[in-house]
Amino acid sequence: MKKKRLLTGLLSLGLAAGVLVGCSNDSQGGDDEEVITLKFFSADGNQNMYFDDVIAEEITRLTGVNLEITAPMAGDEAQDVALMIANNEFPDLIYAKGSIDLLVNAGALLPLDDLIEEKGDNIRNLYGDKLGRLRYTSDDPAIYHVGTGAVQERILETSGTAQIQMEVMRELGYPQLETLEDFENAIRTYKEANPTINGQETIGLSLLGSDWRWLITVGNPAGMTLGFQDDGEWYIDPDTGEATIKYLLPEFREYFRWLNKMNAEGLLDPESFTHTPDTYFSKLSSGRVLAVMDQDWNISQTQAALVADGEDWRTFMPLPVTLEAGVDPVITRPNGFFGVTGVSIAADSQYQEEAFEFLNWMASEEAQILINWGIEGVHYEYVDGVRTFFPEVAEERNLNPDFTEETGIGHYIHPFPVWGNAAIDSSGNFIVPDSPEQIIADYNEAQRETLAAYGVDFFIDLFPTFEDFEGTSYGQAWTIPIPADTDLSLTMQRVGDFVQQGVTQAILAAPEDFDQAWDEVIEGLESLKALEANQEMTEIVQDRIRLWEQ
Amino acid sequence: MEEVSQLKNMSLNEEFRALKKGKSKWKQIKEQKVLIMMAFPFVIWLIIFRYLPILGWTMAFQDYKPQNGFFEQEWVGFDHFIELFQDQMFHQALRNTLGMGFLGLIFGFLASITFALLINELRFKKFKRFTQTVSYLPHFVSWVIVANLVTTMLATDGAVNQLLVFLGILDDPVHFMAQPRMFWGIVTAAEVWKSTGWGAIIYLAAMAGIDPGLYEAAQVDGANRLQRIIHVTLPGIRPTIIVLLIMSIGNVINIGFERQMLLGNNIVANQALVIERYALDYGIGLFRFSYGTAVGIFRSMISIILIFIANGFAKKIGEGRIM
Amino acid sequence: MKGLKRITAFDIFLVIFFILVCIVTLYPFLHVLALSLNDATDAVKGGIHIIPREFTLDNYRHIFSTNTALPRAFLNSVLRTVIGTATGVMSCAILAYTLSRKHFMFRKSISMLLVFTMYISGGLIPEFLLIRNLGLVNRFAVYIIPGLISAFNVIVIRSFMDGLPDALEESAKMDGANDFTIFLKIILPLCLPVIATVALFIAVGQWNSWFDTYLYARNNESLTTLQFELMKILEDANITVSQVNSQNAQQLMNRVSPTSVRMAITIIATVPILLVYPFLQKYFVTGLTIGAVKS
Repeated sequence: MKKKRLLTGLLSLGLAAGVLVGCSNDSQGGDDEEVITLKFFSADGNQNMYFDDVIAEEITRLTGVNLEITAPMAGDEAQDVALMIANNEFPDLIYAKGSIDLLVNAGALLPLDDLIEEKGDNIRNLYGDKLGRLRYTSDDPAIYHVGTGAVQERILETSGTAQIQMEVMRELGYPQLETLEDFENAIRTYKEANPTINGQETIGLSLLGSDWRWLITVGNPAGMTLGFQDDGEWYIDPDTGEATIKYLLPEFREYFRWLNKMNAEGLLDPESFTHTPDTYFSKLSSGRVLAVMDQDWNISQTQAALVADGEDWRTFMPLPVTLEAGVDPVITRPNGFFGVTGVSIAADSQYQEEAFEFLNWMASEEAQILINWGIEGVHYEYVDGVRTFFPEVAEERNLNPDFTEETGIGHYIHPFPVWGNAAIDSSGNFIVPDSPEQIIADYNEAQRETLAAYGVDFFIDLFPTFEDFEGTSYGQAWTIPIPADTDLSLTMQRVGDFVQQGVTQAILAAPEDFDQAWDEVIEGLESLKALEANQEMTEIVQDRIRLWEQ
Repeated sequence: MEEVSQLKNMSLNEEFRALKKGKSKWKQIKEQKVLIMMAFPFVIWLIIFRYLPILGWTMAFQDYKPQNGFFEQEWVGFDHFIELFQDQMFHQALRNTLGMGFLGLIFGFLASITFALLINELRFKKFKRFTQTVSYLPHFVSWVIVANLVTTMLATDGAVNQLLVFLGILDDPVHFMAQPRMFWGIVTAAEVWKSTGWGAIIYLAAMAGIDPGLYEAAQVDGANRLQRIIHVTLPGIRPTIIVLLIMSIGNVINIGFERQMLLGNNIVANQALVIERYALDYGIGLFRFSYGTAVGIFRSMISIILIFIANGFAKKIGEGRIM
Repeated sequence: MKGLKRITAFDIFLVIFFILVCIVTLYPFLHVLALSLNDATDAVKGGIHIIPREFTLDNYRHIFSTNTALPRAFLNSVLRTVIGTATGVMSCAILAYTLSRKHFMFRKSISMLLVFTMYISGGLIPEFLLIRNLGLVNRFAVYIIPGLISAFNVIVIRSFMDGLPDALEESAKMDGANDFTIFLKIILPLCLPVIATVALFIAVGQWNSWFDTYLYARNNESLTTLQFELMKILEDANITVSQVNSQNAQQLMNRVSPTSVRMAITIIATVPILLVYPFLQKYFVTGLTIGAVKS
């Protein structure tokens, strides 16, 4: 048919044009003819990443590489990747995250095994014996990306735990809170004594359960307070690798029974599941919420607002509370390097060698110092052998929220290979600027006094130390990507939607109806084929364990 | 009788029609060549930009994988559609979509038309202009902000509850956002508020085309304000109303998901799920392109059916049809 | 309806009613404006209505300073709005005219063809491939050509034209004019209210669109549009559950701008287009059409 021929003709023209455009030599600095431009798609980027700050220039100077960065809108890389494949046009560097299997199936990614052998000295050094974690699957054990995520990590700060106002602790005489019951009593006692704060009604515990952050404030704390590590929606048996959807476990029933009780007694914000995020934030900023179960990065603005108002004591401190005594909350377990995602190189890229050299360089000491600290003499200097920011730079870094974007310091760490905050370079300095000293210097008045009252230097000292834990044989389950377009991914979507509704209902039900409501959740899960899902996930986890043992 | 009156009132159009029965197609084309040349480029445009992509519908009958060319895809026939129709969640979404769609349609029309009529009656020119400009501002405020405002107002300590308790209508505040039965109503009300001013614009334009002589004649006949509205203004914009109504009926199934997502929460989730959200979460979002396309085809079919019904109905009552 | 008449109770009711309407519709907009002029950290506390509590221009400064593409983007948006509106209105009007001629032999078939386009769509991937194959990617024309005809607008104009008396065409034809001249010189000038309306719709659509920039001109600084630049700062609205896990949630959060910055973006994005309608209002005057017809 004429149209088909016309289309094919136009298609070829379009492709040819596309290839020409893609390979054009953009000269950034203007003078250096050897600079090549690599197109880089980053699933975690935002639309504002132009490779044009001071650090970027330095990177180009040292490597001869200029990056043209693209990113999907609002983190949804599915459409972009699909279009890439349908178009058969790929950027040179791709950080595909969850869509990596689409690309592997399409044959779009270059296996990197040989390049790593020949030229990947920095990468080999970085990962050491964990290099195997970069492998794809048992069926296809090639390495398709160079990994991202910290390799050597020490955990200095807590996040995602139950948190309570320091004011409450102070008034109660700095008690030791071990169980959720202690936590509950502390809230109740304070609330009864102080029905209003600053003229507004006191709220005991508030959650953000009205949008996707349900997972952060309702779903995850459940596992944490039960002594399980964060495996997303799963419980994985550490010995066998058997996977179970966590809500099927009896322990979870008990956690949510506790939450149900909190609601029944009026200690839980009745609007937890309906208020908008902005309302939640404004409640927190007003100082009238006694406790939350949230991640620090989610509430950082509210804490800043309280401090700005002089209400240090109304900011939160983390608590190592668990459902039952004697159980350890596992937020401090270091699982080391996950190896699941990283930057890949397109199989049809014209610059395969250069791209790989670039990635290898990013894993070098020189690069890591540059992207973390900046340029010597411009941003930092060595004082008695200790690497320190210049005072103006340090201040900017603390106060200016756009510091990273403006200077580029810290902007290019993710998603390239990361040494980690426990890594020490050849000069004996930490690779990252976030030192313990910095954290201490950042504490506000109330935090300092509270820490003193408990006799510790850091809040993380209230938790079991991470040296007590060993990493698991599979990392963390949420890092294991579920292959696209499979029964498992479909089931998990349904499960996710269902669980959020069903568990919410159970929390809000009358206490005597709780068990029945929870039974309905279990039944619902089973009718959604939860048991089959468990099996499929088990296979995936066990495959991962096998891969990592190699 | 009929023929006589036809011959008597023969206008140019009817002359053409009477004569053309004897003419060949080519002669007709020659006579209408200017019209055809005017329309032709745009018809080509329609075919290229709107109909050519329909070839993509074949995806719904395949197990589409982006890396395979067209001929290498695996064909699965109607499997995706069968799966779709068996999905409980899809039926839920369909119910919600049609429910909220029709509610929004009915109340939206009533509100926009009434609003336009009232503005038209406003006599103080400057105030009239000001009001017109201000009334469509909500259309430009994004749903994110609107949802925030609505949720805050309807909170247990929000303005609405405070007012109702104060007036004694309620004893205790009602947690509006947590009542599944009220969700559709809340969405419709927010929708009306947001789009009434904007929707009235087109009726105002239509009203501008009404012969002022008709108003004068009506006044002379002793009609009061209300009667003038009913007998002059309304009939004057009747064709516009009907045309818009037909087109909107076709769109009932296409209501987007943004407002439901923003106003909804886990408690009312069953009432808030609409088809577009379903297609996103279970289609493209899971990389199931074929499934997503199947949902899209279903939506188009429903729209076309609705349009035919609405258009046929309009034909019956004698005016304003669009096909 | 001219001259001074006594003011009735109905008039008073209308005035009161519309004052209320103005309050209810103006409030959210002023609220957004107030938030945009309020200090970001303070804004988180909530409780701001239409007066900023801690006035600042920092939010606007932040947007303009971190984004050097804005002036170009603004220019492109204005260009595409003007050109797109002019071409779109003309195209829709011409097509509408042909479809309003009752003797047009293809009237029924083209109408149906047209109407269907409102409800069918090939989907994202096929449409993308089409644009690509036509060589429209990274060209300014991609803002104009693919959006040329909107069935809705054509039908609205046609419906208006249907209401004009046949006598107009007849007398013109008897004077020897062809269809195009009739369209341009006689029919079109009589359709000013509906043309103005459609122009407004198209203009708003052009001004607000960013998805096409996103798909077809994403990294092209010379083609970027205002809405797209602003959207980049505003990315948090559509995060779906399937994308969230503990680690990337943090990254997603890092991209969420403070409330007050988002409000400033809303203001920048909408104020220019709001200024268009007042200019078009003069076409909405009753009697413009009919008076001309009579003469």
